[in-house]
Amino acid sequence: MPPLVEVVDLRKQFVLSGNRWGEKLTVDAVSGVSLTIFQGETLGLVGETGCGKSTLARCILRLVEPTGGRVLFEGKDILSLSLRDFHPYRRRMQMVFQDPFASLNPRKTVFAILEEPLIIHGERNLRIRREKVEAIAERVGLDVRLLRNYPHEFSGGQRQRIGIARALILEPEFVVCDEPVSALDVSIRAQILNLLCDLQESLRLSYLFIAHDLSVVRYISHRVAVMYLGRIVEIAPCEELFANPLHPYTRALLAALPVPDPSRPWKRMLLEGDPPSPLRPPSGCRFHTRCPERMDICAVYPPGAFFLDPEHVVFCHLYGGWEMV
Amino acid sequence: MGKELLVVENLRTYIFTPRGVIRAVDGVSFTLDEEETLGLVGESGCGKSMTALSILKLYPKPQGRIVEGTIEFAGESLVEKSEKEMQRIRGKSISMIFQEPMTSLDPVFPVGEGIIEVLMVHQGLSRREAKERAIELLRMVRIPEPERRIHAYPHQLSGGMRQRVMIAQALACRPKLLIADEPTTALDVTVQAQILELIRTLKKEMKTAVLLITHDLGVVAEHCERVAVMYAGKIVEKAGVLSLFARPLHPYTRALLGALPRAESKKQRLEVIPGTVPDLLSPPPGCRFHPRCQRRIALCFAEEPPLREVEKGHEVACHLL
Repeated sequence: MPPLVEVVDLRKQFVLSGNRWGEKLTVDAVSGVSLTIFQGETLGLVGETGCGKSTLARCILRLVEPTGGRVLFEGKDILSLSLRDFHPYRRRMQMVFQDPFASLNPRKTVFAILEEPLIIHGERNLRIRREKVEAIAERVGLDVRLLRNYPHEFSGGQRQRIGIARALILEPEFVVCDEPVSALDVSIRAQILNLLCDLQESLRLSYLFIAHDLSVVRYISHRVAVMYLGRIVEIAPCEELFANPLHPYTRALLAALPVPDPSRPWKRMLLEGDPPSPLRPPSGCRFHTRCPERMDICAVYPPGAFFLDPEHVVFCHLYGGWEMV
Repeated sequence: MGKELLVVENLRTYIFTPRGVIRAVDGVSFTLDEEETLGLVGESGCGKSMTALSILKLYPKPQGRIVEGTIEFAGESLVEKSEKEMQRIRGKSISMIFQEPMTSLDPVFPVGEGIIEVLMVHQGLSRREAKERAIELLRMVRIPEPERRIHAYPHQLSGGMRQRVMIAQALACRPKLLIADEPTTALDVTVQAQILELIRTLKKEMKTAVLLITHDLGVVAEHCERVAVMYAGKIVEKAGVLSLFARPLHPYTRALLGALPRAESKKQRLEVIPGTVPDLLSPPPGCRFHPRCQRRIALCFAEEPPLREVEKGHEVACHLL
């Protein structure tokens, strides 16, 4: 089966204002990312702050224009389309945002918020709009009687339900969830994760699920991609990645995760230092400045892809790193 | 185990607002031994931060007030202390680090100034001695090139570095108690691990007791010896960390642990606590958890369960036990 979304060598460079000699500073937020997402699948995307995971997601949806590479949606290169031709694709790919406080317009009622995508996509009939809004509200567990209320009258978890309803009202096939539960408390987080799983099953949705919390990613994903400073360092099926992490960065991330089990024997592998600035990314493998297993070659050449099996790819010189095209 | 350093008895801190009285901390009791780490866990708005702020009397004034209860620290009662006396305690024998190191460092001063000030005020060092000591402290929290970084402004440092500066500042006078209020919530997971490890080593070196406030049960499991679980302004369960995770007794604690995605629960549904945290302006009568509790009985609506010891060192406030 061909993938629903295929990202090939995607790049996004932001140009910052020049310095006093007129030199332009650039940030390689995403530098050559390739991945695929199949129908009905959740691809988890993990990485630390500033690694470019949100930019990658926004590039895939064309909310920011990438500077290079291709994004194929059902085999069609959506980056080459004019905005007018792209418009019909928009309703098929939607997004749920992290902050349920900042992503809802405080001056609109919930009904107006949910109705807006329908208006934009040409639904003129108010009765149909009302039916659709009520149906989706019920589906995500919002009280239909509260649709005339404003966002500030809802709790964080309820607001995230509104955000999910807004993303789903156009019946998309592909939904990007950008840290949808990071701002929520543990008990509410579980409600939202369950809801996302149920919706995926009943609507056959594909998710790109961005998070920095590995336990959440492990719970919801079928496959996981690990990102570091604009590049993917490892992609593998979820259980495989947690059982057999190959990249030293993946291993460090897993080791740093606090486990809610005090009887577990103490093991720690601590990374040194902070992630480097994406303004001046290290040469060669971008992780080499913090890598406990660095070799001479790491500072010189960026590592190529090594396929442990067709599903498990790692970009690291430890494994030889044959370039496979 | 050392002797008791901090004894909080029946503490009630209320906040008086035009909309009514918020009972942020409503009858909280716990003790903390010397050199011990106690975790205070709960969801947002459960009163865990307000409990910590009450110890240092840093709650919002004049709206906030300790209306009842006692706080005894090293044999001295803190509730009756005047503002002036509290200033002598803050930063000297009790220090606090906060969640967001950017907002708790002054943006217009180099980061070293805060540490120098603490040392000059509390230990009477000259500026020059204080500066030397500050450089030592920055080295102790493993900041590279401390001689240079002492002149850096907060915005020039990363989040992890800023939190290290905060820790250096908090530990400058070797306090007996360090209150850490969500010290790593704003940080990335690899940096979080570094900071928690740093707190753990320094605590051992300096023989400091730590009150660690967090919502992350993973952090609690790895760093605390005892745990108190808070819900809606009250402590619902108190136990040693092994006992709490092996045999959680309060329905809320059990639900919290059940709501965590774990390796074993893959593709099973997560346990859910229905509803949301109650509004502390008008908390529900009886047991405050009863509207969300799966196992409530008639008594839960009417009467508030007291905290009872059900086995040695394991206390629970629930009518079922």
